[in-house]
This record gives sequence, structure tokens and C-alpha cells, in this order.
Amino acid sequence: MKKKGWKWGIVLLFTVLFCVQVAGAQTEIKVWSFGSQTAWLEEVAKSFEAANTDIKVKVEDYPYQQMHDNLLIAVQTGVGAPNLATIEISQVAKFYRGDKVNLLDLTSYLEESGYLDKFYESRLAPFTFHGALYGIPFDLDPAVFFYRSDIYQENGIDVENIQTWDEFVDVGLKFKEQGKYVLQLGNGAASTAEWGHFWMWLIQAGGGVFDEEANVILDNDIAKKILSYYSDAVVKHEIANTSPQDVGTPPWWAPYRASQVVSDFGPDWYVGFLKANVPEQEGLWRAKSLPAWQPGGYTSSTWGGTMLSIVPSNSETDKAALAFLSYAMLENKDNLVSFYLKTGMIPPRKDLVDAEVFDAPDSYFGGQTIGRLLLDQAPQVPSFYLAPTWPEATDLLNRKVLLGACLGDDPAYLLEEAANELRQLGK
Amino acid sequence: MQAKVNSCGDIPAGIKHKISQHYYRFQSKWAPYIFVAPFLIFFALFFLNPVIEAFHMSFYKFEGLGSAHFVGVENYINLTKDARFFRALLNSTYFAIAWLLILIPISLLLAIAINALGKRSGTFFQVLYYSPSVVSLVVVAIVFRMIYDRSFGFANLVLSWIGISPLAWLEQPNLALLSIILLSAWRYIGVDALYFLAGLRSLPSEIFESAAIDGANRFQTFMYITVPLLRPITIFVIVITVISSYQLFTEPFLLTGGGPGDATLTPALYLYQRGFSFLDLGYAASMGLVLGGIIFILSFVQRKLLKEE
Repeated sequence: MKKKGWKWGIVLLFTVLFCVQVAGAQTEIKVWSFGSQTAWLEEVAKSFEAANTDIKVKVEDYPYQQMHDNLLIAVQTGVGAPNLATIEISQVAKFYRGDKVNLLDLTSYLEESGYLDKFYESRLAPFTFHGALYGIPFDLDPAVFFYRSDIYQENGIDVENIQTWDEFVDVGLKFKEQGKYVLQLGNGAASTAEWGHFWMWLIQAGGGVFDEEANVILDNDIAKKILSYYSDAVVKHEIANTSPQDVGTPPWWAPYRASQVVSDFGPDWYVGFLKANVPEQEGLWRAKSLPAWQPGGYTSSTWGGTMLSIVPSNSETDKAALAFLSYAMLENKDNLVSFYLKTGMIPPRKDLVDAEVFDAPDSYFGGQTIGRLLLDQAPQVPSFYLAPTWPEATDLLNRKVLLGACLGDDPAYLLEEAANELRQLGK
Repeated sequence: MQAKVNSCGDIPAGIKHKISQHYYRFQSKWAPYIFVAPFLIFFALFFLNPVIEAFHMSFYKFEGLGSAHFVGVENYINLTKDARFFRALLNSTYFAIAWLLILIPISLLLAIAINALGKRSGTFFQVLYYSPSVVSLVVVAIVFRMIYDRSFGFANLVLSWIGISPLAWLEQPNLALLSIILLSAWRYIGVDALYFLAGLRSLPSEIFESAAIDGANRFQTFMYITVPLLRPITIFVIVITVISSYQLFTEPFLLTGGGPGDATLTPALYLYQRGFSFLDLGYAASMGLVLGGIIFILSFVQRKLLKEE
């Protein structure tokens, strides 16, 4: 009898434990992330969990390449995929390949919830394929012109007078006499070399690699004009320094530290890169809108970007994932403000114009309100489109187009060759 | 009666003997399998299974994520016409030749020097020269990018001391190739020196004593005794060096990404690009199998050469 009672006790204990577990069951969703937005996601996840006790959010941080490779493998095999993932813009097109995009189409959700119109259209374009929106963009990445105010002043150059990129050549020639460069451009010598400057110029001028219907437009007149300018800046005028380095690594910034490169242009995240890599020049840098390609043309551009996407799993976790995505990136303006504070990147939302946080003076830029300047460029950011052969396009841009342009090869020939190769791949 | 009852209690000694005989037979029959089972399970799961899967995939054309259609041997046929793949193989051959010319002589000399130093100092230098191989390659690549920087790099600073103009280490095709060769040499010379050192320490001292009695000088002893006796080690180092050159991935991936152009592209790097950047998984699988075949042949040659020894 004694033994039997002991056994019943165990059965009762397990029954109680089971009931407690069922009563307190939580839906767990997993978020894969990389880079600076991870810390912000972790913070948002905590406040989301406090408000939604039935959902647990697990944010996992990975190195950039590893996260994207793992995500592709998980989506390909159908095993181990997270519920949400941050996908960088250069990796997005990989998901557009094949007969099905294995990411949740968020178009109708955004339309019905009324948030679609709150986003700058230019930022939704690359994350939209065949009319379906596959992620919510974190950042707009508007580009501005950065310059060393002390050196420009010493040389009597008023940056406000530089209205077009053609006028900028004269400024470059003036600095060339002093052994200084007004720009640093990637020379395509390594696959990690930067092609961002060419890209920013190209879309600022109204060009691109693909049009809205995914047709290759890399060899149109706009692209030829831009590549000629790029090549001339390096080979003919010698006003731009070249580098095979990655903008995210210290060697890229060595000529800036030595005051050899005295100006540049880049997106919002360039601010953080300048501060981290050239800290000793605090107070000497300033920023303004970009010179245009023609009077009245765009005065900003963009480079980079990341979106938060849902990898469909089952209705319960998809619902929880959508709730988290909505909380983090749609409903709560405070979250968007905290994203800017945490990462320095401008959220792509029109309804943030009045937020005072962007009016904080920045000592690195001599007290200039850099956040407001970046935000003011938002309507000037042009749209661009991605297509399934985007990875091959960026490979060709570096390996053939920019490498050739920096060696003085014919820009028109380089672009036509690359565009034809892309068209062949797209068939 | 009592004598036949063992200390374990009530099992008769005869039965116990039978059990132990049976157990011994079972043990001698199955124990080897049990011991090798963990390896075999992992081998089947993580090597054999992927190889079979890759072989299967190599007959398919993948259209992005998920969808694929059977194309027979088309991927292999395309591979025979792929100029970039052959360029990558050629680059690997350059790496192999350059490493052999740099690594083997320097590491052998290093091993002889360490051997001559005695145990205490020798151990210090062993650790010193081996240490580059344990540093994370990511860190190494970032540091070497700085070293090779055209305007502010240490390599050009050193060249300027002897009056040589700055070189664009990572931007000129031949120099980019040389940059990776030098990085790898710095990283692996210590490892190869350890192989040679182990070989040197295993050589019988009597032969050297006999040579000394017969009047052989140091150079003769080295050329006619040390070098021939180290032949198995030398062949081993040659073969692992050649195999490593065809497997090279991380150094060019982090330093040059295969550029400029395709000057430092390796088969493994190209495979990764086709597989993960372009999602051409079937083609990447066929490339992997061909590369595996090349490495298998090289390993086979090594075995043959070592057997001859």
C-alpha cells in the first residue's frame, strides 16, 4: 500500500506540472539578426513581451554573412528557419529567385492597417517584387555630402556654391595641387571593394541596374554618363583616391585620418563610420545635401538598407511574428525614434518629421543638426529596383565594370558587356 | 560444493565460466565495431551523406530556393567550358608551386636551427613560429589588409627604407597573388617546421656519428644523410601543401575576394560564390565533386609515394 501511494504521488505531480505548463503556454518566435539593429531588436522584444505575455521573442545575433547563408539554407531545406529575419538589401534578391518567394507577403497587411502610405515609396520599391512587399525596411539611408570644413575654408571654397557634380570637378582640381583628394572611390580590385559611390551616383541621376519590370538598364545613357564621370575622376582628373578596401574596415579610413581625403559622400550610417574611424577629427567635419547631376535634379541618394521579414511557418507563429513586427516597426513611433538613437540610421517613415530627436546638435559636426539634415533629404531619395540576378550584377560591377573604369577602359564598352551578360543570365 | 560457488553469491562456477566465455566471445566479436561506431556514425552523417546528396544535386539545375529540375550531366559539361573554373585551378597551381618553393626550404632550415638550439630555447622558438597558425584568420586578414595598404601600409614602408616605390599589393593581379602567398607562408611555415623537427628528432644518431668518424663535414652530412632520411616527411609536407592550395578559401575570401578580376580566385571560393551568392547549387555541387576528385587523386599519389618509402 505504501509503495502504491508513492507511485500515485508521482503521477499526480506530473499531472499538475503538465497542467501548469499548458496553462502558461507561450508561443515562442525566433528572430535572426545581424549588425547594429540587433541590440535595438532585443530592447524592443523586452517591451513587447511585457505587453504580450503569451508570446516569447528570442533574438539571435549572427555575423552578417553567416546569418544570410544560414537563412538561405534554412529556407531551402525547410529546417531550422527563424520566424523573422533581418535581411540586408544586397541579399534580398536571392529570395526573389525561383517560382516562389519564401517570405510572407506583407502588402495587404500594410494596406489594411493604413501604414503603407506612411513609408517613403522609394524605400519600399527594392523590397517589393512583382507587386508584393516582402519586408518592412528599417532604414532609409539618405546620402549627404561630408566635407572637412577647416580645409575647405582655408582654400576659400564655399560648399553652398557647389550645385552640380560638374562644378565639383573644379574643386577637386584645386585640391589636387595640394596632393589631396575630394573623394575616395572603390576600384573593384577586390570583391569587397566598394561600389557604393557608383551606385549612389547612378540612382541619383535617375539610373539603376534594373527597371521596375526587372529589365537590365545598366547600359543606358545615364549609366554611361555616370561611369565616365567615375572613370574621369580617377584616371583623367585624378581628383579621387581609389581603394580596394571595404568601407567597414580601418584601412579604408587611413587617407581620411591623414587628411589626404577631405570630403566624401555617403548615407546616414557613414556618420557612425566617420566617428568610429576618424575620431580625432571631431568638430572638423560638416555635411550638406549632395550636388545634383543637373539643376533641379535629385540632391540625395541612398546606399544600403535592411528589412525585417517573416518566414512563414504555421498560422500561430506567423500571427505572433506579425504582432511583433507590427509592434516594433509600425505602431509605435517611440520604437522608431529609439532605432535612430541606437543606430544613427533614419527610419523610412514620413510621420517622423516632427520628432525633436533629430534636432540634437552633433559635436562631431561642429554642432550641426545632422539628424535633421539627413531627414530633410528623405523626399530626395530616388527609387530603385532589384531583380533575381542582382548578386551577379554586383559581382560584375566590381570585378569588371569598376575595375576596368579605374584602369581607363571605355565605360560604354564595360557597361554593355556587363549588361549583356546579365541579360543572358536572366533568360 | 562450497568451493564451486563463487564470491558473487549463488551463481555456480560452471555457469559463470560459460557466461564469461560467451561474454568474451561477444566482446571480441563486437567490441571493435562498438569502438569505431561513433566515428562511423559521424562519418556517415556528416561526410558520406553530404557527398551522396551533392552527387545527387549535381544532376539538377536549381532555380532559386526550392525548385530544381533534372539536367543530367549538363553541369559537368558546363564546367569543362567554364573559363573562371580553370582560372581558379590555375591560381591554385600557382599557389602550390610558390608555397613549395617558399615553405619547404625555409621550414626545413628553421627546423634544423630549432633542433640545434637545444630543448629549452628550441621549445620557445617552436611556440613562437607555430603561433601564427592559431590566430583567427579573420583577424589576420584585417591586419594584412593594413600591412598591404598602398598608401599607409607597413609593407610599403619597409620598401621605402630601401628606396623602392610603393606597390599596389592588393590591386595588381600578380601582387595580389603574391600577397596571399606571403600571408600563407607566414602562417604555415611554423607548422611545416614542426613536421620537419619531428622528423629530425627521430633520425638515428648512430648514422651521424658514423658520418663524423668517416670525416663528413656538416654540409655533406646535411645533403647526403639528413635530406635523404627526411624524404618521407618531405613528401608528406609536399602533398599536404598541394592539397591545401586546392582547398584554399579563407585567405583570398577575406583579403581580396578573388580579385582583382579573377587573379586570386580559387576553386573553393568560386564554388562558394556560385553556391551561396548565385544559388546555383547544382553547379556548385558538380564543382565540389570535381575538386574532391582532384584532391583524392593527390592523396592517392601521396599514399603511393609513402608506400614506396
